[in-house]
Amino acid sequence: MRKFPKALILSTLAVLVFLPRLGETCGPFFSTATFVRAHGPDRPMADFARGRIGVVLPDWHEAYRLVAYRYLESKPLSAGEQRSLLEHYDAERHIEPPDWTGKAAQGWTSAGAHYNPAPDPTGLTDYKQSQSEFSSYSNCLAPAFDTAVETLQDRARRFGAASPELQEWIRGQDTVFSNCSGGANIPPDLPATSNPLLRADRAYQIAAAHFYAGTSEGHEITKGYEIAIEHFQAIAADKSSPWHSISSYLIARTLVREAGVTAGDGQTYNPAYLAKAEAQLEAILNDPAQQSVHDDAEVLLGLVNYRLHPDQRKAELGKLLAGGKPDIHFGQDLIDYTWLGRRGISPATDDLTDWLSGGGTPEHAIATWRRNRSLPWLVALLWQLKPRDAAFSEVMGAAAKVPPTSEAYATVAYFRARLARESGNDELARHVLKAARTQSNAFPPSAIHLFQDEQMLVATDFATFESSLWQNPIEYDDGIGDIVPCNTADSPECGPQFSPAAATLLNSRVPAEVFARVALWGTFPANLRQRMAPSAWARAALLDQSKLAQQVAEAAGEAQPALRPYLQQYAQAQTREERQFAAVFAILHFPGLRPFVDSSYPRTTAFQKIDSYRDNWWCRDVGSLEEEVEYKNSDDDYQGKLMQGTPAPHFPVFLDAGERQRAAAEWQRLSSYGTASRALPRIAIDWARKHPEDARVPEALHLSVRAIRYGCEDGKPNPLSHEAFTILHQNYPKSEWAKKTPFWFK
Amino acid sequence: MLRAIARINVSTRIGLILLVSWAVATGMGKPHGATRPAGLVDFPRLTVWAWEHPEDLRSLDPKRYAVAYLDQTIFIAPQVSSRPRLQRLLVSPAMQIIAVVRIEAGAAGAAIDDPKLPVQIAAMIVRSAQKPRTDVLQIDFDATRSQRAFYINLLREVRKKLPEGMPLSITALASWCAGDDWISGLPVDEAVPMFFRMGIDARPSSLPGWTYPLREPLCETSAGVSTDEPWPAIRSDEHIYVFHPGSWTPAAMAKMEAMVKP
Repeated sequence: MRKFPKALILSTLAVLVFLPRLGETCGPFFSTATFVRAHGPDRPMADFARGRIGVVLPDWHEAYRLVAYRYLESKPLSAGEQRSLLEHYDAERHIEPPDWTGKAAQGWTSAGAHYNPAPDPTGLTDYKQSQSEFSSYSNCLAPAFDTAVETLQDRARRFGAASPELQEWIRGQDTVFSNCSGGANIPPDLPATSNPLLRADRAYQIAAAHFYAGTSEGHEITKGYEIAIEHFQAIAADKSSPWHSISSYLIARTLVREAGVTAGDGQTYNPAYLAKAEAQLEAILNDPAQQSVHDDAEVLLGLVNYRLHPDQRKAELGKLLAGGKPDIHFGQDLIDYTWLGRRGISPATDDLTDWLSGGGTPEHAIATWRRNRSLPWLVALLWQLKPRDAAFSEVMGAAAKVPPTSEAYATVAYFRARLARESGNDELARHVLKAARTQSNAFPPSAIHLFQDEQMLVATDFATFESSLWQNPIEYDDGIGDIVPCNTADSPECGPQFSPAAATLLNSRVPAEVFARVALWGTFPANLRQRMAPSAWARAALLDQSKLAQQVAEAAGEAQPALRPYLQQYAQAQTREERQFAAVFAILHFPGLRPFVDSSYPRTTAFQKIDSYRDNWWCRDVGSLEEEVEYKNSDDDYQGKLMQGTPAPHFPVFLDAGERQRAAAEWQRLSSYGTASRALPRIAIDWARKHPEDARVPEALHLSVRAIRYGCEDGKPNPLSHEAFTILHQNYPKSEWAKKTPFWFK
Repeated sequence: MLRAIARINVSTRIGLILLVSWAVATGMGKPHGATRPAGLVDFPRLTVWAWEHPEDLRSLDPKRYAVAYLDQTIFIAPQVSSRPRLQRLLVSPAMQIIAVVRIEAGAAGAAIDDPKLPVQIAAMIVRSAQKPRTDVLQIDFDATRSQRAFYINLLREVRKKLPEGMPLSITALASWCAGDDWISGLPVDEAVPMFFRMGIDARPSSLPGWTYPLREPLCETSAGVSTDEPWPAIRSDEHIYVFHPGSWTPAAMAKMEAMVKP
């Protein structure tokens, strides 16, 4: 009996020790602040559809660039095209169609119940198991239910709601729809003495029932469809039937369905049946008498051609979507067009497709632009132009002539300003930006932010520079597919943040005194001043600029009162070495303390608390790469590309030569610290070896082990944890800090 | 394990080794869920996930592979609806089959709290289990914190309605199997930790063979991986579910084989 508790304790210990200690992981999915939408337009999408295209970026998804092309070409989307676009696309690319089939089926059930108190209790499902045992297809589409409801209401008016004729009609229609999810139920013929309209309806119901029964059990694979076609042909030939036009179209529908169910290995459709459908649809479209079904026939022919003649269809869509005649199926056609593009078929044969492909080589782009002088091609050139290019002056000259009233103005002005700066002509860049600022009311937020980043780079005075540093995020991406728009500023996350470009510049291209000045600047948003003041102190302290550290100490203490005792220790330090240790000792206490500012992924964990995802202290880039600071690969991010794909940003223009020199030297020193989980423990250990009598040493060693455990890793083993652990346990074995440090970590 | 020991000082290490020896001797070292439950034991080690793409998997050897195919997606918001698999799937007659039901709750909001919802959704899910070729049912639902209570009730309902003896599997965010261990005690036979598309920095290394601290026994018998991301270290007795972005091609299968071998 006495052994039991011991075994329990031992086993509990074993479990506790050997279960992993890392317990904070979750997902993890972090929300990312967006300042410039990388792959598409700003919300609301309706504004974009109406022509508020802002600055069109080359990384936008093809569908959005296509819409932009229309506006750049001064061929605005018609109201119908806008509507169709919005039905199929949102600001995150195309959206799946709503569950309109289920809704339509419910509409039929409700309408039928109105006239028949005992409707079919089994309900309706629109999907039917396919020949393959694992998959289904949508058998009864929404228009079928809608047509049935319309016809029901009409027949109720003609024959009376409670008439036996109507009840028989409803029974027939219920039988038709009973095949939607399977079965082969065919309504009976009506007697020859019945009302001719109802007989025509019944003939149509029988044909439809065969169509929906299709490949049902007991039938050969195409038997049901062949019977349906025979019935539809008979109705199409009966000009007295109200269903004769639609039946002609439904022959083609049946053939398309047959093409699907008879598809061989590796096929989606059987081309032989598609060819028959194509012939049927062309015959309909060539027959003015069948005008009432031309629209439906055109849509179906589009599908047939998509499968049967993809090259031809792509070219057709290219012409159609480029404008000329209104396209009420714009959204669907846009999806088809982009999907055909992804299949990698045929080189571009039309201007739109050529333009969307990126304009090919710079030579091709310049040749095309010289030929047509169109705005889309001017934009395509600006996207890829470099200051050293022979055509630089020519293209910049053309860009200068684009008036503010042009749809291309924001795009052209932005790239013109950027290229002017890259070519060293800051004066021109400022001139372009100043002119663009007068038009900014018409720009969406992403465009305003892009202009603002340029403004910051060429600002000639501190006040302009400072006022360009922060922006309100447009939205947050939660990392699992949901976007949370910042429609109002009531959420703290939607308040002012440093833009990615501003953070990079502040962190690596200004001297500590300017960094501190920004932190102390009176007009700066309070939330950012609060975040920046401790960073300014840490920066100054790590650079051993004790006077500057003293200047920002008060603001840092106000922002984070828990920091005050450590600020005081730093201020009282007598030697450079002691100041360095005091700075490190302070920083080790506060995982949120770092000598730089963050941007897209602002640290949300409390200043003094360990962040569960190791967003503690800093990584090896020491804040120079905004994305890397937050441990995210930025391959897919426009801003990331902007910052990483081009040379490091130059120093802010307003800095004089001495300030630039200091900024460069300071950055070299700061960046040489590397990751905090190496830099901080190294300094603490050195101090501990030289000054073992310092009462702060055991705590500093404990905090060093913690910093290695929870700080950013650089992928290599870190021997400092073991070193700090060993000194702590050998020299201060009875200290509370030794007791609090049972492990060391690689 | 050895790496963990190496991080601890010598005296503690000796003590711990003794403790572990004792724990192993008494059976405590064996994870509770290390043996696959009945119904899954005879499954091949490799299962191919066949998502909503046209798939011809007839070339797969049923002795080496099983197929987990997306049978239906249930949407909870804005209204409850189900979309069955619309793409063709071809497998050999002897293939063991796992029917997967994906749940999309999106912005379900308060609707998720409706006490009738688990019953309604369970009835829809069980339709996949009742298909003649289904050997195992798997549910794929990335439940948020606010959806967990619903998910627990849903799994209880599904378990009640499931054909007798049919194993119930779920996919699990890796974090559910580690610190955020809310799935312990769920009425399921396995939880497949998803070691891909894990979000920012969740994967500790970009090199194959990385490790992740699982603590939930339900997660210890299998691993979910993808052909386009490095795999974690996988024990030889672990079942592997393999995802491929797009239709499975001979090249994708060869890649999977190459990733299994090391």
